[in-house]
Amino acid sequence: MSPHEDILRVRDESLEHLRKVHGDDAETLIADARYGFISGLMKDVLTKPAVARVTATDRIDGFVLNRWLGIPLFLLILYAVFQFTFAVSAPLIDLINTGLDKLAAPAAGITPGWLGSLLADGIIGGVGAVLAFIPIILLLYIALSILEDTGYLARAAFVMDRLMHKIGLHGRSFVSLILGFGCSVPAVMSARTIENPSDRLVTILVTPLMSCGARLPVYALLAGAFFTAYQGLVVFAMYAIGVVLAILLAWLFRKRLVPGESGHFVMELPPYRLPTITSVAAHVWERSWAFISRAGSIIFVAVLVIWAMNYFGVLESIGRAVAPVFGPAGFGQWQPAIAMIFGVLAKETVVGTFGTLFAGAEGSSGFAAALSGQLGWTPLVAFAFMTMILLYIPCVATLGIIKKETGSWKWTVFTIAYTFVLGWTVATLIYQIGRLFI
Amino acid sequence: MLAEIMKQFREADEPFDLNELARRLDVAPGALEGMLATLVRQGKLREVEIGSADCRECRSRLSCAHLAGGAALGKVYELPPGQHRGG
Repeated sequence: MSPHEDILRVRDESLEHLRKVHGDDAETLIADARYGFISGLMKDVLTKPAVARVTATDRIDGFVLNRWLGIPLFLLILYAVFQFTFAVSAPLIDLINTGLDKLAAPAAGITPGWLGSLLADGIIGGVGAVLAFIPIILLLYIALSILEDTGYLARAAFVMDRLMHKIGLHGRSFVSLILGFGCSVPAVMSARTIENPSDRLVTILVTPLMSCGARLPVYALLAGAFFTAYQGLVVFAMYAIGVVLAILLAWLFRKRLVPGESGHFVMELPPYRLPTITSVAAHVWERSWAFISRAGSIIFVAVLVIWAMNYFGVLESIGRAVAPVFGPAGFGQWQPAIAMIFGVLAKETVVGTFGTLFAGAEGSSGFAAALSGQLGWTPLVAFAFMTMILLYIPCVATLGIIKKETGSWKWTVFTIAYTFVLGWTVATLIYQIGRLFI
Repeated sequence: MLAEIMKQFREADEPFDLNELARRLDVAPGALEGMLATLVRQGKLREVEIGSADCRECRSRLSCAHLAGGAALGKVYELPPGQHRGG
């Protein structure tokens, strides 16, 4: 054996000896010894003040991350966000609706008749009904951007994570779920960073239950029409139902479908800071502009198809074939059935469908009159329908990303099936139980 | 010290934040970050940036009304798969 080989052999034997004695590799042992030395030295030479310095972040985190106060505070902040959003946006929406009314009247008179109907009922009635909710979208994103930029949103996710861990779920799931308040597509994608396959799958399956921004115009339309004084509270209830059901379903799936051991983690929370106007404006502009361009693309095309099918008399027969399924939930009429079918393309299309089918019904009071007068809807039916919109089949973009991320048609079809059954069941329970009291 | 950090991860029964870990180990949070970086380099922990869904890959990006990309939700350190308690 050459001296060179001899040195390598002695090195390997020494490394093996260290591993056996200390149970760790040499690199870790050396780093550990260095940190141990530094730590010991610091204790010898550094005199710490008798009372540790408490920073503003520590004080705020004392409340925000508190085991008992953290979750109620999160719910309270969410509630305040909706109250703010609806209170401030109401006059702006009324202003837009007045403008749309003024546009629709002359458009309806254009000849030939089909063109007037297309412009007034299809484009102004359908796409306009969606665009009228821009103030709500803007204000919600201003509020969420402020929460995000101050560092609170990260803490809310952390607090909810702790709860989820208590019931046997991977903590990091809630981070994806909180992103679902924006859009389910990036929220599902963000589950990629969850290494454990079972945790990742459960997170992907329940993310669509979180109320995304696309559902907000539907809530705003119906809450404005049927719950004028309690709009913020009703919309908050939708978000809360989504969160509670996502947690319950995640627990159930973890127990029954994909059991396994979950990991633990340490979170480095971003520091609190004052949000800057430019940062908030950039977030809000990016998201709001995307909403507008979506209204001008997918929703515009969907509304044109709905208008054409309605104009040529085929829409009603399709709606009537599907509608009885929703009878037990209180909304067994053809119009909401059609709205739900097209809502799978994009949830805002539900508003566009109502706008086209109830042409001329602009604004909250107009829709309230149309839905209660023509369909016999009550606030209870509206609430059950909102719950259905919250829970039933995710939009096609979300289904596409679920297929891509799970790599499986099985889980995609499962998501379609379970969300539909869940939505129908919850809506039916709300309507049937509610009827006993109202 | 590093072994103590690993012990905290293995024996944790709920998520906790970096300041809490620093308190438990009686070290400054700044010093702890260096130790965690060492453990990440050695492959004993994973470091994951969270809340930053990469929308560049999403085909719906152009028509997506509600981008969540760019959300700053912090960073987590976790045990690699198969190394957690019972794993």
